[in-house]
Amino acid sequence: MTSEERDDYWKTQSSLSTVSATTPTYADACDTLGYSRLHPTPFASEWRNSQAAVETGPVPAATGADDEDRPRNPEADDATPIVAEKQGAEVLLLNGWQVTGVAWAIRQENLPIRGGMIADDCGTGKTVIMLTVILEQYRTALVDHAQGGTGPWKPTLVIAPPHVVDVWFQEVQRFFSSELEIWRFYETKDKVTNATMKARTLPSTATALVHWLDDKCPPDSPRSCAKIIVTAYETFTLRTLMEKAGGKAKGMSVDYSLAPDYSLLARPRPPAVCSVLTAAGSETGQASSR
Amino acid sequence: MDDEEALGSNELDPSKEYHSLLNSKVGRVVLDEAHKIRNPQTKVAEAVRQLMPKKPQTGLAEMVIHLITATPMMNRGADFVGYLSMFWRDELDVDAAESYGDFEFDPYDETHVPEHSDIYRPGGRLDFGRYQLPLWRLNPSTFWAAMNTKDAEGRCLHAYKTLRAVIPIIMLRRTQASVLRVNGQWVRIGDSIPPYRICTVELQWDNAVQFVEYNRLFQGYVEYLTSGKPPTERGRRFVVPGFGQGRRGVTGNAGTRSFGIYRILTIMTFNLGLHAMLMRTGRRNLVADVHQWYDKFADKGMSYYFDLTKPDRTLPLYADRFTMALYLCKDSPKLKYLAKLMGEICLDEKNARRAIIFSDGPMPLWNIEGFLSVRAQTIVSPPPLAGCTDRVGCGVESGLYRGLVAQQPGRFGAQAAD
Repeated sequence: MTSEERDDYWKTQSSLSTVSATTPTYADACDTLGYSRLHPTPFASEWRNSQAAVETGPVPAATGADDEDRPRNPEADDATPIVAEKQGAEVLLLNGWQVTGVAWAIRQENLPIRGGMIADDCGTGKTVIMLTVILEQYRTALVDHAQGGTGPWKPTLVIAPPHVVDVWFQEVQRFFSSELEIWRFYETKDKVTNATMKARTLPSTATALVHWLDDKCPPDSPRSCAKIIVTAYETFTLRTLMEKAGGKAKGMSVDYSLAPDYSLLARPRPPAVCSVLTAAGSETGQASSR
Repeated sequence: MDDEEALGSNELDPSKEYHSLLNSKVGRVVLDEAHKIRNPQTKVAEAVRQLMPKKPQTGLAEMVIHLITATPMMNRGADFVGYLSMFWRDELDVDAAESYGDFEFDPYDETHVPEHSDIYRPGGRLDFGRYQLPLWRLNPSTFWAAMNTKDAEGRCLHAYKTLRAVIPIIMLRRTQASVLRVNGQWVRIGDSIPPYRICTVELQWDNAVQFVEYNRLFQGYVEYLTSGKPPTERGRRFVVPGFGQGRRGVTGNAGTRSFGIYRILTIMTFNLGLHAMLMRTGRRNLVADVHQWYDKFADKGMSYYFDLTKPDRTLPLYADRFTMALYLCKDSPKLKYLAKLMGEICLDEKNARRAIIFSDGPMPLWNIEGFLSVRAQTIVSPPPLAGCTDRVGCGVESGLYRGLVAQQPGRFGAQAAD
């Protein structure tokens, strides 16, 4: 690719119209989340350990002027039963836009809308943003719990196309397994060959899943927030959606069968058009009225 | 996918009532590749909506929904209605009375969206008193109506403005060209992620392989294509693009679904000796020439074709249609496949149907037309597209597409088109 082609590419890309929500600035996002601005990561201590392991020297991260690296929730770490040792293993480092995306998504969760759409381009790490949001909200739940909050705390359900289900599973296992748990509500145990996945495959009926949720994810335990259930669209619909006859679409939350009432939105016709029409059709109009 | 198949129709049945067994069991729902639920009237979308606790929620809802997609508007802006239906609760319609009053003026004119600092107190707590987001905009019915409002000439009045007013409330979109300021430097997203590599591979199968593959494909799907029955086990081995949705049987959309097969057909190359023939004439052929061949013996040019390509100069013109068809099929496995397929579709006693064939140029289309006419099928070719005066020239110069309809003679008009 020549430099001209490259310039042309970027010109085209940036001329594409993009309407988007505004995010907090990078600095604000880092401060809100408690991340280091130089090395934004939800796993600050693991990051330091891994750097120390690589360089086998003193930790260099704390030297930056605006580097406020510190373990985020000491109480939370104590309350967490599972903290895997990550020595020299890969630790997730976020990119700048991912940090602002996380801050934006958490902000959206606290708005009355309760959520939002993340529509970033392919390959820019939307999955990582969402997993970090889940992680941060779990840590918030731990803090709430320590301060006497009562929840309710419920797990997260991820619905994805079939070929992405395992991507989510692997992504969690790769970066977030120290704090988050992912379970598959997809396929059945006997069909899965991978041992890790097999152990994390849930029973295949909704009733069994409800039992599992009642048993393993009590709403008064913040640990429920750390559980992610991943499933596929069709599997999920097939297993959980029940239908029964009767009721004119009472179950539908939004009734689209009603045609939109256009008269409500009718605009008065611009006067110019009206006058032209009247002028042209005045004779016929009079003729019909007679 | 088995589940996809088992789900059958994805459309909501308005006479049924739906509920989810997981209602109010989860606190957060993340929909990856959320463009799958851009149609709100599907069972999949309903299954997600039914997760929301049913009791009235006065404060913040108990369930959070995130949608993730890189292609939020695949076809049109109105796709947003599906996403909005995920977020929408009737409780959000707080100032509905006043806002509906404004409709006569302009519902989405004011596009102000509060900034971070407008909503939050310095401590980071949400300030409901100062919270001025016009949430009624997110009502899917309102949105739908506003998107579809048309003026006298049929133009959508509010579509752009409506999207401008709704998107900043719920959607975060950064492209590769987006920049943001990180630690005092402007960073472009596309520079920080590895670039894409797109490779195109064109496969050139020899005739034997083509024949075997087409035959297997055909054997696997013939039942489905002709009568709507699900593919047999033999056919399942083939993953046909665009073939995965809604298998309901003959009353469903079996006819249109079989486009998957036709797509396979169209990406292969016809191997008829047409080009050889064109070269044999020794000069550059004009559109008028081809036109002449086409009409010469009133057989769509096939006699002329045979005359030019026959292996022995002394051979007479073909005596009957059958031998001519065999001759045409001689070195084109694709035509053999097409012949079988068309026979099954159009000549079936019970379920005879029309077939529409699209081609991206006149040459292959001419072959197919001639071939089918030899097989005594009624062919209705639409006139050349506007702006093209020549039957053959229209595809080559303009790159436009043409189609033709084939049907068994005698049945024309007797059967409703699929």
